[in-house]
Amino acid sequence: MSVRGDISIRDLAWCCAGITLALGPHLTRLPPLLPLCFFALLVWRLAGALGKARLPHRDYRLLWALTQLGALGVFVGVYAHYQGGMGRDAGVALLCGLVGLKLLEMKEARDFYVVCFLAYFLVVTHFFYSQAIVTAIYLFGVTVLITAALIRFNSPASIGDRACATLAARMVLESVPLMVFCFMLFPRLDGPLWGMPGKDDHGVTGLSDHMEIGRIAHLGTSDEVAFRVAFDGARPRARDLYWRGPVLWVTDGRRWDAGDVARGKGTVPVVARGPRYRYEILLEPHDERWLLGLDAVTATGERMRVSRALELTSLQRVKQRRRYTLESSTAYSLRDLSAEERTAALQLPPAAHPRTRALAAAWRAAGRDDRGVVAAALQRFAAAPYGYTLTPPTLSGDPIDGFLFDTRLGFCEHYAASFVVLLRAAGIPARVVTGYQGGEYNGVSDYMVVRQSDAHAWAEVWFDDEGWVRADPTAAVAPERVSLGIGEFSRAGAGIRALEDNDTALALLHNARQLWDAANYQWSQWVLGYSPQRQRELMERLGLGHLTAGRLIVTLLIVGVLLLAGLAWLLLRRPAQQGGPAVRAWHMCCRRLAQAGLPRAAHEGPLEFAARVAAARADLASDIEAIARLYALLRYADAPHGLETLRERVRAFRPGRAARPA
Amino acid sequence: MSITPFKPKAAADASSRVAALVSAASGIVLGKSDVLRLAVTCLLAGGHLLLEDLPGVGKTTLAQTLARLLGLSYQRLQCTSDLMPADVIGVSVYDRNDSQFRFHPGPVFTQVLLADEINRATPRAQSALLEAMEERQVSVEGRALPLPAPFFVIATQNPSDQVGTYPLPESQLDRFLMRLSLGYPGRDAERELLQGRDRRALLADLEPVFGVDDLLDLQRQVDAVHVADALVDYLQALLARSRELPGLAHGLSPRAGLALLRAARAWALVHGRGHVLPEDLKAVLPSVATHRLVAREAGVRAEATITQLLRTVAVI
Repeated sequence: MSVRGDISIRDLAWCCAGITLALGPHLTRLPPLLPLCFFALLVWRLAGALGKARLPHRDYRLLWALTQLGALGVFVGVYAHYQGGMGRDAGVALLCGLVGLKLLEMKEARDFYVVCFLAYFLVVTHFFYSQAIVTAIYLFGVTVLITAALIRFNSPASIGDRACATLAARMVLESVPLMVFCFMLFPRLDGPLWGMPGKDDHGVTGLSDHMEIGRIAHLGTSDEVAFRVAFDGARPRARDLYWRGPVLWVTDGRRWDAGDVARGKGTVPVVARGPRYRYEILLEPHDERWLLGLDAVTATGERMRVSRALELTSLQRVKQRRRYTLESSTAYSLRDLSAEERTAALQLPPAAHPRTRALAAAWRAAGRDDRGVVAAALQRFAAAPYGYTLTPPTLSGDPIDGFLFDTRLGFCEHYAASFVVLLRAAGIPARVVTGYQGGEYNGVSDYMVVRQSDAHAWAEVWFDDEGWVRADPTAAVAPERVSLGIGEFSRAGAGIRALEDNDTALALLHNARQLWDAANYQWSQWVLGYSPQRQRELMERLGLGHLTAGRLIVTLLIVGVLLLAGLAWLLLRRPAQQGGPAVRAWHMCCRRLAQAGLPRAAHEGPLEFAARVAAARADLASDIEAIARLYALLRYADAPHGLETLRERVRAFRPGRAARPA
Repeated sequence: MSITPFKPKAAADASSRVAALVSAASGIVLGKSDVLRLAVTCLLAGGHLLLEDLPGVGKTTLAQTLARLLGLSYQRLQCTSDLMPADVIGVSVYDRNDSQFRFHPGPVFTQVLLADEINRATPRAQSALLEAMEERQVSVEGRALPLPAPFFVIATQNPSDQVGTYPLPESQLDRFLMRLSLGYPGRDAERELLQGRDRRALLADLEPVFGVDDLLDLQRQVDAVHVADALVDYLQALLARSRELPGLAHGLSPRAGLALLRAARAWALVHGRGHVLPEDLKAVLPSVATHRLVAREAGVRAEATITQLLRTVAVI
């Protein structure tokens, strides 16, 4: 085969398709002018190839000047747009611009290869932004397309586009085992390879270390996953699923903050009183330091700390998905309160909430003790016309008083905050605990999903004889919110629940969602979460635990060289399989005849063999003669057409097995 | 490699014309259509033919039949040990009337030359003839005189009779594209020969099937027969294998390769194809290669080696 120098319009179309799709997801991330320029260059190149526009290729100096100017323009533009920052985004923008220019400049085979390999590189850059399954699948497809463009470029025109694409897909699929092998065994770095400066540090919306009435209403509508939990064995009951987050002590009347209370070191004063659950949490990044744990955590993992208020905090901000294992007991006692903490748990802004204070004073005046006050408060929420809603009316003036006595409509934050204020007004230490409540069990992969919509706030009350006790005023108002979880609860509120029982479409949708989430979970677990530690575990299971990273690399290198040498030896020893698809079809035909007891001798030409077969099996004569003639034409007359016919005839050719002698 | 448009129609036409020629010749040379087809192939390829056989099996008849059917002029040269180069090429004789030397062309100035028992001629006479075969022209007194076109030499030699002969060296055997032998006729053919009319009388009645232009046209078509890369691969494998076969003193030369390809092209055309198949190479190989190969040990027949060669090279 002669060396290809020119690029046909078909090669170019393939290449452009590949590079456009490789660029695709970047379109929204690039400065808007850049994609415009890119596509203008692309259209120019295509129009030039079609003879509809003049390309600057004739004059080498003109081409040189144009590309140099273009490159300078891209540099200046990117520099200006990103204000001199050369981070991830600027780098990607630069790459895209330069690929466009290279596309215009493309003239010889060498340029074609450069553009294709740049397209491969573009594919990789998407992983800076997203590591989701969908991204991986999409980029897999793009990789196949680019490979097909390379194959198209190196194939004679007689080979169809579909054949090229099929071969590309096969090649890429065949390389998957090698990819998995390298992925599993190549020494892994802690964290991603690219420590790119840039804007990738923002986490998703979640809880915060303070609360203001109205904030969690927003979360109530967010379907994003907060974290996933896989229990090691039995799961706790749904109403015990309180996932503890930041504990809020300090209030200015409207806003609640964690403050500096209970941050000091000390033994965790928790005692388990029931079964312990071991579980693994896969936390989505939220760019804060707290970690979630089932109330109450009795044993923690590495790289985290527990405060005296049982809050888990990470040593660093959580910027990537984090996996950790905990142990909890849902029946526990927490009996430790320092003087400082007692003060904080009783703090109220002076002169705020006059009506609330009056109510608390009235209860005390009625001779109620601590438990009596708590019971009265819960009673009030349950009995009086309080309602649970995710869209409460706005509160001007004193929000606690306004909520407790006027609007009486709110959600967990309103209830938790006003409940704690009531108790503190009555002189009972109390605090607000934020976190998540509930979660959806995924039967496909046996784990629970907790979404941002499961965010919750409740209260903890101190009794001198019992310690900290959880009290959830929301449960008093809307018990289903806690026993069903927010998802079911809000569906019930909208009257969808009854409908869903009958509607198989909705049920199917629900199942599909669970399946998809399970796939995502496994992806996070095994692909994105494949950490150095997991790798060590795997190596130990394979009996390679003693290998250090350096030794592993050397071993892999040696194995790779040996494999390549073996392959080279095999290839050199065997006569090269020549001729491409026509020869393959012919060999397939010969194999079938060999199975039918008529093997072709290596030295037999096609017509010779066909004549022998025809003499031996008259029933096959017309078929084999036609196939042999067609093959001879394709192979020895370089006939441009007929490959498809040959393949079809060979596919349909069934000489059958050799008849066994009776 | 230039790609010639594939013209199945022209090839089929050539094939039917050659078939007509062969069947007409079979009426004279009985029961030898395979040899006839190879002989015609050799002529279409523009090569010279060496017939090696016993006397009396019809070598001369074959040569005459072909010349006649092709409508070509014919000369016979009986080689003896006193044959001089001038007897082949011609001689300049002083003409008294014109007072100058006049060239009298020898038998070589013809379209078909039958050189009978070429191995009886002395090396000098042989080389004069072989030079004419190669160059297709003769030099007389410093002038180059072209021979007519087409120009074929059909030489015969007798393999069994070695007394008083000068066997052609390998380098000169190489000038013949093919070496064929007729062998004894089959039983039926021999009976027909014995009972039928005299061959000479039959020959006299024979009408040409082709004109000279037809033949030249067919020769041009041979040049246009397509040779694919895959076929060249096979040919090279054959050549390479011939050089490493243990039974041979030396293998096939590049010139032998060219000759093989040329003969295979003509053979493909004779069979109505515009492209060469491995089968074509295999069909012409024994005739083209046997006389070019030298067995390492006396008594080993080159034919057996050729069979071995064909059996050990794979067609892919």
